[in-house]
Amino acid sequence: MNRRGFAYILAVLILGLLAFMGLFLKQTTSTEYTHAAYSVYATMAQQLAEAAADEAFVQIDKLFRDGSADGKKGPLLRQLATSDYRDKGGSTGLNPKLLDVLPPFKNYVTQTNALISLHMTRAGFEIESVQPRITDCRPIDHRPLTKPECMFIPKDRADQSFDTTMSRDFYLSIGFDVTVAVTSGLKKSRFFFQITRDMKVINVGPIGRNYTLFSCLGVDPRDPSEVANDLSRGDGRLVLWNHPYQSRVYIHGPAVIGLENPDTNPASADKGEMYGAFMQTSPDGKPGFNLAFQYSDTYNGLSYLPYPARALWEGRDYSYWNNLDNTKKDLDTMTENEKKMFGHNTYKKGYLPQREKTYWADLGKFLTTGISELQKEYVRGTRKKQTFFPAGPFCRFPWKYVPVRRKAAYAPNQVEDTWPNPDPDLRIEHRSLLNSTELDEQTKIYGEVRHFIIRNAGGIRILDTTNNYPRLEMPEFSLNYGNFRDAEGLFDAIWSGVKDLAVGAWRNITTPAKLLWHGGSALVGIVIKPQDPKAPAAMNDTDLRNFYPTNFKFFYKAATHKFKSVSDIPKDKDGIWLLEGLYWLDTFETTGNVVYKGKGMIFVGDNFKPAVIRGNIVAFRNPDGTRSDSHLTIAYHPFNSNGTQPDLNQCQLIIEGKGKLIEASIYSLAGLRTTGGSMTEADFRECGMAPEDTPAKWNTTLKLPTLREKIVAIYGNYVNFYMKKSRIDGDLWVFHDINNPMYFKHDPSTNNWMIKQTYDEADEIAAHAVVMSPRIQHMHFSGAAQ
Amino acid sequence: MTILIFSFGLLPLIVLFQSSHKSTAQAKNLMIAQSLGRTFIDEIRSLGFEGVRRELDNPTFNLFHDWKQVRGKMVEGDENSIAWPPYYERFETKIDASPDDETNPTKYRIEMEVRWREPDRTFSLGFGTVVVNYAPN
Repeated sequence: MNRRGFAYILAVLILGLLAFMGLFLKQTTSTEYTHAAYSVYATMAQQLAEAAADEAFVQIDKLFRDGSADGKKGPLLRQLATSDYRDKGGSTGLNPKLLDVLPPFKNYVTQTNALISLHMTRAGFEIESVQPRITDCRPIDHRPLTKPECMFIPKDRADQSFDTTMSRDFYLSIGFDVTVAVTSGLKKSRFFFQITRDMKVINVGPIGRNYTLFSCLGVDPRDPSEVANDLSRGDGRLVLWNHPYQSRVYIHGPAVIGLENPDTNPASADKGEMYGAFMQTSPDGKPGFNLAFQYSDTYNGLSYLPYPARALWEGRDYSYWNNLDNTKKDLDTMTENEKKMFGHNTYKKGYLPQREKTYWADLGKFLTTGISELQKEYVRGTRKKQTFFPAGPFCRFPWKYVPVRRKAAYAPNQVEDTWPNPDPDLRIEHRSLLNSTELDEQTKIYGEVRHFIIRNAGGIRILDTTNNYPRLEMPEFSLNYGNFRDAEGLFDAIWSGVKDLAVGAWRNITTPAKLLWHGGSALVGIVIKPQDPKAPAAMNDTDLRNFYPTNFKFFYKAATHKFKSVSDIPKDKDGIWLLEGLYWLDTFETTGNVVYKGKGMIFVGDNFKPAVIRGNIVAFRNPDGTRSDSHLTIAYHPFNSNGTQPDLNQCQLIIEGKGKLIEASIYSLAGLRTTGGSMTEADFRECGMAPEDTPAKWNTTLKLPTLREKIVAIYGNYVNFYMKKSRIDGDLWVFHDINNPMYFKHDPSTNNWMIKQTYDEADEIAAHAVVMSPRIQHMHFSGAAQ
Repeated sequence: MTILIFSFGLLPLIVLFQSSHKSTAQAKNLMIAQSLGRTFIDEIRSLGFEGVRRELDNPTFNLFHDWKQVRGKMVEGDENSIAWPPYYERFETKIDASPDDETNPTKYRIEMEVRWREPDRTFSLGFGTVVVNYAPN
């Protein structure tokens, strides 16, 4: 059998099979290599796309941070202001026009293009497009704190809120779609890359900017003695240096401001000598400094309440901020009836020193000699030392004055043509709800005075001790007290109705409910829960309408950065704090002086730890020495890890020592604690504020830097939930900062500072910080499988 | 005779198989280079802008370097770190960072090159990214 042919066939078959396998293998390995190469290109394309997207993100971040005309913060904020909460089915505020105003981002990926042209040259890479996407624009939900009906609107503004929807905090998502083309041979492939990050736009402006002081709940109503005494406790003064006619002061109320009577001697058993009715520490009847502080050389006076009563009268010229000079001219233009109000003793319960006289001597004379009438009535303070001064010197109207009758006149410095009788507008603002006279009545701020009647019996002074005279009175604390036309009506016992309740019911009020911080309802559950049905309605303050100051929020929701301590705060090479956004710190302790630049908010409120400021915290100065427009808001809201609030008497934000200057808007749940800097008379003299002089004289002698070295000063404003004035053991002076554009606008032509009651768009742009998260929210890559 | 023909027939097949083997090896090397490129670039990206700046000023991880063989531990200084497989020793990497502005950089362009020796030539691939300063403050 010839098998040779079979061998050939077998060999050819084997070779054929091997050739087939070889070709198949070749094809497979070639494809494998092609796929490997394609995979490498995909990786490179992804790296390029990521790089391009990063460059584009930086650019869009820069544009959205830029509040100038060339920047895009304005268009962004305008769009965000039209967005609404999701649950209402409201609009996201998305407006395609915003994307239209953005530049083509392809032009901004310069470094990525450099990579392509200089380094990744193997394939023909090209960044074809870089398109932004904006989605999910919504206000950050701080309700009910930011509900329009829950934000405080004073009576004189009726329903005119200080803020608009543009004042809110917002979040949004920004994405980029990047297309990278790869040309390999004749084939052009495209890779698509999507990446999304979230952005927050946070209002970091002052809290309650219209107010030098805004106290949401005022003195702690759980302790009746605190209602009557807290504002008189503590060794240090709390002085509010308001801007005349413009700054506002709000205390929830009720609260009592103890007024000074340096001659009081409660230890005396002799009733005739009690209360300093006749007794003067000075032969001239010279008041102590705290009274001099409130005094003015104008017949308009400055007194909150009299020593003896001094009057207050409107000037005719409201055009200029320095009203002291203007008011001096008013006497010449007064009607005869008006003038009668300001002669010696023309006011029944008051006393008006003449402007040109030596009034200290004049005052003393009134009490000690020459009583020509059969009966004189007057009031004096009851406290040895007054420690709460709701207005500083140079303030004739420490509070903004907008008469009720002219609600349309919301601009500052308005003057009423016809004086009301009584005038309700020069009181410290307190809790109010429209149509609730009960709440209004129960939350007033009172002055504590003793009412004397001195009778002239044949030239001999006799202190009337009948009918409980000299008796304690609680008139509503007021600046126009001395000007009250219905003098007798002053002592109508508004207070007496409340004080019974104060004793009877407030004692039974339990501690505030837990701060349900973690449940997202912090600051809502803080309101008082009364047990006693007889408790004043104000204490049953579960009604959160008209309650919160502007820009009050759930700070943790708005946080853009979480840091352990101040050492983590971004700083420049000189150690200056760089602010942009809301920094949530675990602890807040400064050891030296701090300078900050930019605008930001620092929030401390995690697992209660003491917060202590040990040095100055001041805004960056421009090269010419002027204050920059930098702004800092500090919010200290401590709570325990279990969500309860710490001991309110021990959880103050502490400013240690004296001579500290804090340029910030400060909110602290239970107020501030100061430990040094209680001014003595010698200190005041050293500062150019001699008690025997007047504030008008002080205006020329005041050495503000010297004063600042002796006290603790806040340049900004001060907000708290509880006053806890008793914790202020060193003088704390709060200056409503006219040099900070977050509060005031300066007109150089008139040298006039006007408070920014409402923000215009430029102000809102300045107050908002734009922060984009460096973290990726969503990422998608496709094209590798084509 | 049959064996002779068979052998002649096998020769191109051997070349074919060798070519396939070479392609497979090249593909494998490509994948390793890609892996190195992805790993190093991702590691640098994860440092962030400040990390890159720190690493340039005060090198800790020796991420930026001139040509260097891929060998030793993946994480230097970590005794538990796994080592690069011996096969990787044929690869060399070079990584460089260039700021967009020498005095006040806001971006770093990262350029990475991987090279290795193929039988007939030296092969190299470029990878890269841009690390930007997301939070200038």
